[in-house]
Amino acid sequence: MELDWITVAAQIVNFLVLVWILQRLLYRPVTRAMARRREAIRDRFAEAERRETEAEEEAARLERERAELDARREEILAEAREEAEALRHRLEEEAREAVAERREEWEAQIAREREAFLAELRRKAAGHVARRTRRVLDDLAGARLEPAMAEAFLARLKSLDGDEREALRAEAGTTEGEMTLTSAHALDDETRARLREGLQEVLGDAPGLAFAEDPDLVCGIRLRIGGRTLQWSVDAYLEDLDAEVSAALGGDRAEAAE
Amino acid sequence: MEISPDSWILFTLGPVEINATIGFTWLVMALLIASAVVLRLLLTDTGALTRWQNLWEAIVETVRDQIREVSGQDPGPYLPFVATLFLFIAVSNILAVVPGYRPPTGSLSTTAALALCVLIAVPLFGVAQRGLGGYLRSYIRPTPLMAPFNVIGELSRTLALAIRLYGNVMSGTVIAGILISIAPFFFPVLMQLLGLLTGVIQAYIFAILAMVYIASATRAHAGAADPEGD
Repeated sequence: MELDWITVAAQIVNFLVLVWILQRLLYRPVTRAMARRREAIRDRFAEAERRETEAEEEAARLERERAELDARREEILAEAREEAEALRHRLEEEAREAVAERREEWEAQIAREREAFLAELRRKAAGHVARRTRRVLDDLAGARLEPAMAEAFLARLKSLDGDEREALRAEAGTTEGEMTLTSAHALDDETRARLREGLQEVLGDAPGLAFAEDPDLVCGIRLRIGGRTLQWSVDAYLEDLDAEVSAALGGDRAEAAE
Repeated sequence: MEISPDSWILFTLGPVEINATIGFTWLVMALLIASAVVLRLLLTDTGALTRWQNLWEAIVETVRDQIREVSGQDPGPYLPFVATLFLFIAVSNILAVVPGYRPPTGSLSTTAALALCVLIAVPLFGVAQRGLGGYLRSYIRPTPLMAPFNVIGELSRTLALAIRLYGNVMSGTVIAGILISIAPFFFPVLMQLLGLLTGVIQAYIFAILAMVYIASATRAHAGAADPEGD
């Protein structure tokens, strides 16, 4: 066991040199590199944490927005439904009104057409019946139409019940016997005498009897005493015809309306 | 058979004779410095680490952790000294498996030199850490009567450091030499493998003890002022 002091000194120097060199070349660079890397990793973690926080905030924000949008969508839908309902009501109302209007127009037109048709029918039928009747009566044994009409008129006059007869008499009293017999054509003397006789029989007396002619009467005889009128005329039959035709058309219209 | 590599003269440099202790010390230094230079070239902060950098970072980080554990202080100031002790002794011992190589740590001169370095470093670190007065006061604790014993303890542990390392490494070499002569081929190989283990353990023990002594100088007496410090 020897101790060489020169070697000891040399080894001390060697060791100190080694310490110095390794400190420069090894420990310091490695320590610094590790520190830098640790710093970088810490930075990365901090960055990741920051990003995560941001992402969470963003997610929360988006969630809030979505909820708002949902709420707004419900609101808008409700509004739209309300509007649609209102619009539907309005359109229905309008359509109903339009239909009613159209229907009124249509009914008015139908009524007008019916009126026109009836008037025309009445006019034509009256003329027709008068002509036919006249023809028929002319054809019958040369009989004249007026005497037959006079007979028919007198039959009607005599068939009046007591009240009506009294009313006519009272009227003749107020006009002091003034009365007018109107026919479509001029009456012959014999017929006039028959009529005067008939009137006297019913009214007691006919001092102011006058005769007149009115082509509009077509076929008939009319007695006018003051405000009262008694008449026999084809018009009566024509009016019956008119009434029947009107009833028939009215029935048609009722069917059409269903 | 020569026990000490001190008396094995490798070559002469002019008038100076270079013995095996110094020569192989230079070899170990050269290896360590070359490693550091290679590492320096490969060193990177970012991206994938090379295996070489990974190895050295692991070693440095382990030493730092050990220093922190023993001293409870920032390992920065102590790292070069303690890590170099460990690396130098470990590499010297590990190379013992190479035929023809004699570990410099098998020389009492080398171990005495390292122990002297520790002996000097302990008061230096103590003074740097606590000031001259603070360090010197540690010798008269708990009473001035203890001062001679403290001084003796300082010297005796230095002697123990040197003798322990020298004895272990030298004995390993001697045992290998003796076994080769009496039971060649197989048994010496096992002893050499065991030598690798004991070599690294000795390096660890030497470095840790050095750190313990330094820590006791820089911290133990601070513990008197701060009992909770430990």
